[in-house]
Amino acid sequence: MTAVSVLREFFAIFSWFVLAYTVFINITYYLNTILAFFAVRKHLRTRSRERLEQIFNSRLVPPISVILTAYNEEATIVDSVRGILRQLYSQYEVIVVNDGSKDGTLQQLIESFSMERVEKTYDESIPTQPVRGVYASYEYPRLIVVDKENGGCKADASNAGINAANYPLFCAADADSLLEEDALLQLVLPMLERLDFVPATGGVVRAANGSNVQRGTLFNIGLGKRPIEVFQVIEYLRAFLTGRTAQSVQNIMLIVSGAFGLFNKALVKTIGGYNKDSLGEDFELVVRMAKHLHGLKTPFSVVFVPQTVCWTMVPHDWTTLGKQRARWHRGLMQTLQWHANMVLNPAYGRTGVLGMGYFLLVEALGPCIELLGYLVFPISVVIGAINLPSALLFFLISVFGGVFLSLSALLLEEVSFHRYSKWDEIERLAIYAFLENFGYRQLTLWWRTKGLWNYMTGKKHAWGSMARQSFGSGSV
Amino acid sequence: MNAHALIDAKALPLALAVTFAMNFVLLGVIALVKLRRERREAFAARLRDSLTEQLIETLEGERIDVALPKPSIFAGSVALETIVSLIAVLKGRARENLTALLERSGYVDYLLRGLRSRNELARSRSASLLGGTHSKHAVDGLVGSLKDDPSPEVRLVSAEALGLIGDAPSVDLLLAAARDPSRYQEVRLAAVLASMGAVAVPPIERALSEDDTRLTTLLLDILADVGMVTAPDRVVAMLRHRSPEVRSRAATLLGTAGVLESVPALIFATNDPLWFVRLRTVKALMALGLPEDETLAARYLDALTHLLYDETWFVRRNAAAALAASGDRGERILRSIDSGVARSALELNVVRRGRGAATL
Repeated sequence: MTAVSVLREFFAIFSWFVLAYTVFINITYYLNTILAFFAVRKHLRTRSRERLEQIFNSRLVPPISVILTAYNEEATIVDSVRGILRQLYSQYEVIVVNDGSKDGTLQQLIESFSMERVEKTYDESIPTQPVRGVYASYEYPRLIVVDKENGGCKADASNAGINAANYPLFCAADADSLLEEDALLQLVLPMLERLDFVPATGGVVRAANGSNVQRGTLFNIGLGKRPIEVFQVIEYLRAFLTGRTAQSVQNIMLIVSGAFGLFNKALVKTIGGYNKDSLGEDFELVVRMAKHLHGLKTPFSVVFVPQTVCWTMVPHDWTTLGKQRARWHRGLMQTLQWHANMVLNPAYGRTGVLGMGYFLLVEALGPCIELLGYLVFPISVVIGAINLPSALLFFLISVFGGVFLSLSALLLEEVSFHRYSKWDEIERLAIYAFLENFGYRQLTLWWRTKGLWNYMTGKKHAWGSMARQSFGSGSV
Repeated sequence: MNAHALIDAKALPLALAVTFAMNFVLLGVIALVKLRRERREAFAARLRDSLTEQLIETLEGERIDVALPKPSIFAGSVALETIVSLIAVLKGRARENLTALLERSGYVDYLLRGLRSRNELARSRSASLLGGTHSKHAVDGLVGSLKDDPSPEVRLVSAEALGLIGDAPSVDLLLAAARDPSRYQEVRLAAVLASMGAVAVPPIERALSEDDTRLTTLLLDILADVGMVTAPDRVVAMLRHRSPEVRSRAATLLGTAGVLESVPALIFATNDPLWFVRLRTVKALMALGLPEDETLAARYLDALTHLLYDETWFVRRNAAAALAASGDRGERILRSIDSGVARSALELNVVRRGRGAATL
């Protein structure tokens, strides 16, 4: 056997592996989509507006502390807080953690909400950077501001908020998140209705770019003008409406978005809060929770509510988006490494085998393998390892399978919530669901692979270095 | 050497055609779903408008004679939801007339049959709509579902429906269901009992227990939602209960129910060792307002003034708010004290007066 024939054989085998893997990934996604259809349908038929209002009026809903972490957010912080203070929920407080901002974030809060410095009324059970002061407002008694020294990461700021929280549940939100008015109510319901323990719940996050936002309130939902914004709308629909809904049905939900999620405070404190060294602190926290609860042999479910709870401004330039995706992937890899003993381990039940297995085989390795496919198949054809139709089959499954998944997410959106009501919006989304697979998708694969590489080579990342867009600047 | 081949060149166009066809079919389905939804919404809006118009003309009459579509078709479902939404906002004769119309037109019987469906969602929807009809004919069927339905969700919706119908004998049954370990049931049933209003108060008061703290806090919350007590002495005694949860809720209830004779006991409770009990007590005192009796009013103001120096900001803040709401005497006290909350309370009073004047 010559060296050339060995090389050919290697490329042929590798090509078949990539093809089989692509088929496996697509089947996984198709099954998830089917599960999501049934789950969303059931959700819509059992959640009535009247019932939500009835529960909202009850004194028995558990009180919630909403924790908003802010670092150099002077442009948006006042509108964000105003938006959150309009929540339809009977008992909640809003804790804004100013993480040593260098701009006028704290001053804006003090002036806009007539805040005064008060004594600390809590224990620092989770260690954080020193707190410089706590502020409260006579006029806005729900609002508390914790001013602390910069901790270099969001986790440190969130932990300070958890320390200051007075209520048994806390909701972690970003300062640039815009909440639906019934977001807290939607997220708390699974904690009340499930008979097993629900340590955390999350909901659908959508892209707010192109929507009309004024003073922290969303008036008209629309699509951004730039293709990069519309691509992300489709991605978010696919990831949240189908992906996470399906994971929740299978009880393997391990990510509750940092943009908006509800957590059991006692449990989070028991496990030491957010990890300051984590690159993906929201994912890592839920995995650690699951590990802890498995250790205690406590049946639990992390639940995803297929209801929109939060709108966020997604990156509108390629550099920021690339950095964001690389950071997400590094966070994913780090968490998988830290909790490697859970991956595919039957001792952790579904969480270990299906949940962590999914994140390793589909989310972590998927981008690298698919990207390799784009390189390996042409080479294999050129050197005669496989025939051209087989290579085209890979592209067909990969690209048109991707289009099918995106259109399925769009169909699910249309049969359920139809938040994009105009025909031209649906047309644009359908066109971009197709276009997304020719360039944009490959670019995201590249960024994620770069994230993996950066993680393996130990490149550092700083909190707050992402370029942010305010709601006002994105408004139509 | 031959290249490996999973498919040959002849099969490729077929694979291409299949993938294209799948995507085009999906696109077509999206368009059809949107078109169908828009048409149904337009049809439903037209039907709702014309039905509401016809109904409103004869609402207060002896009897409503409007022909309704069959309940089993889409138009019937729209008609049912329209009438149920009208029943929710109407009272008296108009509501009774609409309920009678639904009973005569076979809608209540149709929904009662729905309670026996094999589909859990269909049973749940039927129970929910039966509650919306306010028909007394539905009580037996709903009680049966509450007791025997295998689905916890259907049992809960049946309980909610019974609450909407306001059937007094159901209160004890709902209280029994509230003892269920699931907190969701507690919250939902508590909301149902609270929505029943005065009719639910005596049975709830009878169920108050010294020993079962969990149940007592639940029932005190429900009574606070209703905003009524018929046996205030028992609640006043609970201000000295061993459980701070019970003490704080008792204070809230006395405030929301407006039990003026509880002011001395509430003043005493402002010395509670736990800040959240003191906080709720201050809020209750604020809800009750400055007593007319001069001696009691002086004690009331003294207690609030003392709380302006409380160790917890939230208590201080609410004490200042209560003083600010007590008129000139409260404001004089606030002016004499050098503290942030006192200043804020005074400033806000000035702002509110300004807004009031502008409105007038």
